[in-house]
Amino acid sequence: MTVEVIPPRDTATPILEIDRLSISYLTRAAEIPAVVDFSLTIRPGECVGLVGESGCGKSTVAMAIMRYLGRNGRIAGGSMKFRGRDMLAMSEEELRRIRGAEIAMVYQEPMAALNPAMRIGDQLAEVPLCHEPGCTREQALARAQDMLGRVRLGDPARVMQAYPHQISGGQQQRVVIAMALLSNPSLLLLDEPTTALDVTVEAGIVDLIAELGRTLGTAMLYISHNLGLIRET
Amino acid sequence: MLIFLAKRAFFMVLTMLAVSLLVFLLLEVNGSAVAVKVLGPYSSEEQRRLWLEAHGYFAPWYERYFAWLGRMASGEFGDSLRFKTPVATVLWPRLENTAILAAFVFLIMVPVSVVLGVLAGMREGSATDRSISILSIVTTSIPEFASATFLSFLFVLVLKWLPGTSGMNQGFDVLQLVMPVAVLVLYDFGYVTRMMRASMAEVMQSPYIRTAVLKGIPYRRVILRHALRNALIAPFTVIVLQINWLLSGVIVVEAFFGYKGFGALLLEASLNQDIYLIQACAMVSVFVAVATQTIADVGYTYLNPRIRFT
Amino acid sequence: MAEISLPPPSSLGRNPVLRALRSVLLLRESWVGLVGVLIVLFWIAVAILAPVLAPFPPNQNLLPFKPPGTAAPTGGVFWLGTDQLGRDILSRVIWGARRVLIYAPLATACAYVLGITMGLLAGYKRGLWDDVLSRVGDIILSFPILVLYVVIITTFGPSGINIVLAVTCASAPGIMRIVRGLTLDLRNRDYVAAAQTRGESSLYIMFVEILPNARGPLIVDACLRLGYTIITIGVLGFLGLGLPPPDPDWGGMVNETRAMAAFAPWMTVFPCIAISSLVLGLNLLADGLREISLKD
Repeated sequence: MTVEVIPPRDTATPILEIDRLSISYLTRAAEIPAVVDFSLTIRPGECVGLVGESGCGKSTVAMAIMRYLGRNGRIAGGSMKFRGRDMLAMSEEELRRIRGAEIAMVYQEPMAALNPAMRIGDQLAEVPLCHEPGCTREQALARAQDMLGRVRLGDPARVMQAYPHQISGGQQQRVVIAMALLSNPSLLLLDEPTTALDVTVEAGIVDLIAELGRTLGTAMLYISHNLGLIRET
Repeated sequence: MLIFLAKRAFFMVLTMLAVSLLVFLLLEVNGSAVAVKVLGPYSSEEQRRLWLEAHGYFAPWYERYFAWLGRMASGEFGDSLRFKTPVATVLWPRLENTAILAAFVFLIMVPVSVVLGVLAGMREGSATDRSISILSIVTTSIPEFASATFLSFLFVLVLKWLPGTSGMNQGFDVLQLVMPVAVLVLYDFGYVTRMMRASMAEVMQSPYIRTAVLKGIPYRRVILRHALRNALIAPFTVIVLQINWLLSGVIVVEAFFGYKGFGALLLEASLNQDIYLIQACAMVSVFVAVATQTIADVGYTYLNPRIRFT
Repeated sequence: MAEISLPPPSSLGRNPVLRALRSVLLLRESWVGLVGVLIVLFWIAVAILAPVLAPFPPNQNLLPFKPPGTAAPTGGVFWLGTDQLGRDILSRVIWGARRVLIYAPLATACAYVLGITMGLLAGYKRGLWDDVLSRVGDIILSFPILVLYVVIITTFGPSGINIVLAVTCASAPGIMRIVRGLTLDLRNRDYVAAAQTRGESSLYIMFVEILPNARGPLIVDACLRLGYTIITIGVLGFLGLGLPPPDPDWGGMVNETRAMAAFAPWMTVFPCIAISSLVLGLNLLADGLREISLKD
């Protein structure tokens, strides 16, 4: 796997420490290993690329980091630490507090990732509302709109009122990125964020991610099957 | 949106016209048969001919159809042979009674089915899901007259908690409504529950639910604000169409418990060959059926943001 | 030239009877389906063996209002009691099974023949066929179903044939919709295109290529629809619009004895148990079949 390192702002405790992780899926027939002996360390502010062919288990690793493997997935061995805390021993409530606030995710299919029956502004505002007890609805909406501007979306006010199907694919992905960055997470997981987009749109998203990485100092794990893309990022 | 409404209204009218033609052809076109029903089987040929002439039955059938249609549309349904009063005086109060029955059925059935369906869909494949599914299957296997029999046996004969009939002869009595409502709810909730379950299970598998969970939203809020909002769209249509089903279902229940509603009226009319009453009941049924379908369609369009805001 | 090796043909492959039997054995995988098929087979056996099983002639007036378990004067026991005319309930339930299991499958089969034809035509030929057939189907479906039955039976009179006709007309549009949907999906498959290239007629393609591949959902629907039809025949009997007396008809039995059910409840309860169990068997069977088809 290729690794691209950007100088981190502080080399204290690593954000993510994965040591010889093994993940398997349980089927009716047998337990099928999906990932075997995977190790990875990400320091604060670092940007790491994870490349591999389709089906090699990249998305599985991302889901494992989020501890969201579904009914048949199982972590079969190894350890995983987030900021020194053992993730495999965390309770559901602790995980809930980390998800979205400290570790956030950007998905491959932006249209599918957004709730079709909810306005974009509401979906964005949920992040601070659920993670910061003191935050009011007005404050959350204001921050959401501000973030939409930061991901370089034209006319943020209109996008706030819109439903996901009313904006384009590239715009949807910017919304997803905004949603992920709203609580200023320490780690951002990007699971093939541009695979479902056109090449021209892709370039814009890639630039955006690079710029945000520099300004916010967020650590990133960029998953892709495209080695050239990783090299450029 | 307005164009859509206009189109639906147009199709509604079209369907009603088509069905009215069907009803007319079935029941009215054979003039001599009508004469026999009105005047009785012992009337003579001459009497019938005179009656047919007096009521314009020798005109060409399409003329008769339009005249008949006009009368139907203006509420002039003719006279009931059995009750010896204008059909309208019998029809509307009975419809009201059935509407009361239907309202109670809905009030109970909708929350029960939605809750059970959501619980089953949330935990797909679990014991909860399986038992709710089996319960739905069992209740939809018992015809209404059978469940009415069983419930009567238990609550009227053995336990003596409830009255056996629902004639409401001493004014409105809620206790008399319990069994008819129970029978209808029992038979119907299974189907709606299964539809709700299917919708919920599908929504729970969708990527945007994963997004919501991975955003760190509490599970309760994920279900109530993300999942339900999408899962309730399709079952809404099913629920509205249950009004249509109820119109059929009440026939058995009202007959069994002696409740003076629309279903019992239709049955009595058909058993007594009360021709004008049957026509009126049929037309009213179709109107309700088509109206509910239109409401279901329009409602679905309104609820689904993808269609509403294009 | 490369050798193309084909897998050996399955020994059971060509014989449809053996394949059907093998499908039944698959029910082992679903206990729900197993319970269902056992109940259905039980009632089929009862219907077939009616002349042998029934202890008394179903229409013979013996001793009225006897509770279950009473001994008969000429030997034998009224296991389920007698009705208001003195007829043995058990015998009437057994013979009623035969009634139901003749008319209901007949009506459902007719509905299927009509519905499949209409659905294939609408889905495969499309165009005017589709427009007209779908509209007609929608119109019939927009009628509340029992109202439709009542109107038809009232107009044409209650008899076995009329009931079969009424059920056929009322059920066919629903079947048509399902078949049409399946056809629309299947007509784009490669084997259909291959048949078209070969120059096969539309009729051949519809019934030989498309229909067999649609059998999965149709079989599940058939079980459910058979259950609905049995309920319908029961309801029509209950309303007094069913098959004319004195021959036993479960719904009719409930109707005739309802007035006196207060002091002789066995007269109404047992036919209700009979019809409920049979329909339950069919519904469980349908659910089991659906479960198995999903597991594939």
